[in-house]
Amino acid sequence: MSNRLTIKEIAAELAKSIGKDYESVERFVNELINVVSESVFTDKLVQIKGIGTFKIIQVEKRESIDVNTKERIVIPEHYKLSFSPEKELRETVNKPFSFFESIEINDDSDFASFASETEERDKADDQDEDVEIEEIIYEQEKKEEQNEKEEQAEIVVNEQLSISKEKVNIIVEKEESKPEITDEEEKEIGDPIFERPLIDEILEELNQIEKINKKEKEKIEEEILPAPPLVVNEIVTETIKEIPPPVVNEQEQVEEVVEETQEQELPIYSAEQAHDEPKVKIEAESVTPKEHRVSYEIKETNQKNEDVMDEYNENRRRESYHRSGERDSEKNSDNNKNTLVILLLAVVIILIIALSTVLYMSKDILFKSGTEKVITTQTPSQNTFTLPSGDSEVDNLEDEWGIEDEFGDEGTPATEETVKSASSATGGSDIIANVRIKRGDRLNLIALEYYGNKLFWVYIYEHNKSKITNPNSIPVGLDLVIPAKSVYNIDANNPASIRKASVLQTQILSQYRQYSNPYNQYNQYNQYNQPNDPYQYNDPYQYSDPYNNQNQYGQSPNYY
Amino acid sequence: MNMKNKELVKELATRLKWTSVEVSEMLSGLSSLIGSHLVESDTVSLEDFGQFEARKKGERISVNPANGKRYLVPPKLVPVFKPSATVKTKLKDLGNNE
Repeated sequence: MSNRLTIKEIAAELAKSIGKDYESVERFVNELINVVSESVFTDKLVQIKGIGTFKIIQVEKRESIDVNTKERIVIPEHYKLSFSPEKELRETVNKPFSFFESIEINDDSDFASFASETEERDKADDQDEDVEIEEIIYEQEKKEEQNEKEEQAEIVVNEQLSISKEKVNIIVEKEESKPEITDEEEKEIGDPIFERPLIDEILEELNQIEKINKKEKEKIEEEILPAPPLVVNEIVTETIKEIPPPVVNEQEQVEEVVEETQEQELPIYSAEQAHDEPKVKIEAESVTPKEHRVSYEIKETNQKNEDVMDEYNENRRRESYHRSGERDSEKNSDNNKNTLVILLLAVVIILIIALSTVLYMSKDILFKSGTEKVITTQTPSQNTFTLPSGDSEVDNLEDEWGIEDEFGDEGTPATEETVKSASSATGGSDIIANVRIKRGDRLNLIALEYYGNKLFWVYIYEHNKSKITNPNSIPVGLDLVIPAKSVYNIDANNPASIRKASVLQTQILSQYRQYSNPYNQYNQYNQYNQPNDPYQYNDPYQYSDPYNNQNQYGQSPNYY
Repeated sequence: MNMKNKELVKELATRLKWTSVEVSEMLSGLSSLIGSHLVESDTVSLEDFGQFEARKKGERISVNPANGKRYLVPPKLVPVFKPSATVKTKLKDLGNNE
């Protein structure tokens, strides 16, 4: 990489690839240079096919300021040699970045300074990743806990407790940018010791965020995320807020936590339905580990005796009273009944989540040796990438993000091969090739390869509709059939054909937005308590990072 | 006046005493070679003429003047050509002579 190649090296390589002797190739290259540099002066323009155009252009005289002396100077009229690369070369060179697309920026987003915007996006992305990493960490914790007895789990909590004080100080300092949370935290720190485990969790979360923020700062994704950036912190605040100050004993504390979990669960899930944002789903997931841990305690308490339940109900009453004061709404009378039902429901939900997360974990382990896997979420938020149809020029610019690959085997990202076979092998005359989706593939890139325009991915999608549930996330290893151009009248040189594809694209994407959001489905499954939720095994939330294997500039994935 | 590819091939063919088919084959081989090296962030330096290299252009925001919509244009890699010192002096002379 980053070698400097001389004429000789180039000539040697060219001789090898073309099969001529080195001398004549070198002579050719030298002669080419002579001809070009001579004729660019005589003719003012030389066009070399496949490379580009050299042109001598005149630069008008202009005023400028001397950088050193800060004096005004006049730069006299002069000539310069300009080079405009041919499209072919441009595209070859830009290949590592070719999966990027232009994105429409929302009108209401604030762009006081571009830098801050980038930062914000970083944050949002970081948060995304953070949440998932946390999730994994929690899952590990959870597993440990399941293997051990509850008592031991408590010991773990106590251990965490001892570290907490130091952490608190550090984090309070670090989180200055989020004053609300800091305040809350400080308040909480002064509270009785039994609240510590929860605070601990929060602290750990924050700590995680800090750590990973540093690590992942460079990692920038192309999309703009319209969702609020400080997702995790919101949850944290919520958690904190919902702990009522007076805590009598530990069991009470547990009950409080249960309540809080319920309180959290419902609004979050509904929010999830409201947005079509994958992110929101992840929020919910990040909450589940906590719930899960809590559920353990709940079971324990339930088994112990009914006194606990009474206590709980008392507590609940107290709290709902507290709340009704705030909101002026809820029913006080049937609280006992309600909460019992809700509690049971919560336990069932939590058990399902636990079961699925354990399975999810085991799948993770099966697929890879290291358990600490960093997952990136690609959130191809449709809103930003689609445009109203009709504006065909912009549509071209703006076609959608294509596929994200899913769960990829990280061990062999680069060596996987796209399987292409001749049309005769597949039988049909209207099939150009078969393509097996590999990590980093996108429908639009496949379309670009076969049809010459990314927009024609819609036809690949149309042709493989039965296999593709979601054009934005296609599982790795899926075999796609690439139809011949004639089947759909594909013609990259025909603007009408492109326009047609762009209209179709808008349709597909809008459809997709309406009915096949995997996160919504997941949500439904959850609510109907179906234990065998296929989405939890296929885990559509795991996206591998296409940036990692696609570009050579990836040593530092900082594109900005 | 302008030297397009056709004229270039012709000129090279007469100078090298090759057929124009050979020349254009060689040219396309050269261009794809340059392209593949630029992708790997190599610089291809042709002495006495200049060097080709790939430069990264950062992302930017552009506004469509027709509808006022703003777009985030992604970062891209572009091939650039830096003329060599000899070419630059020639350019200077060109300016001075006129």
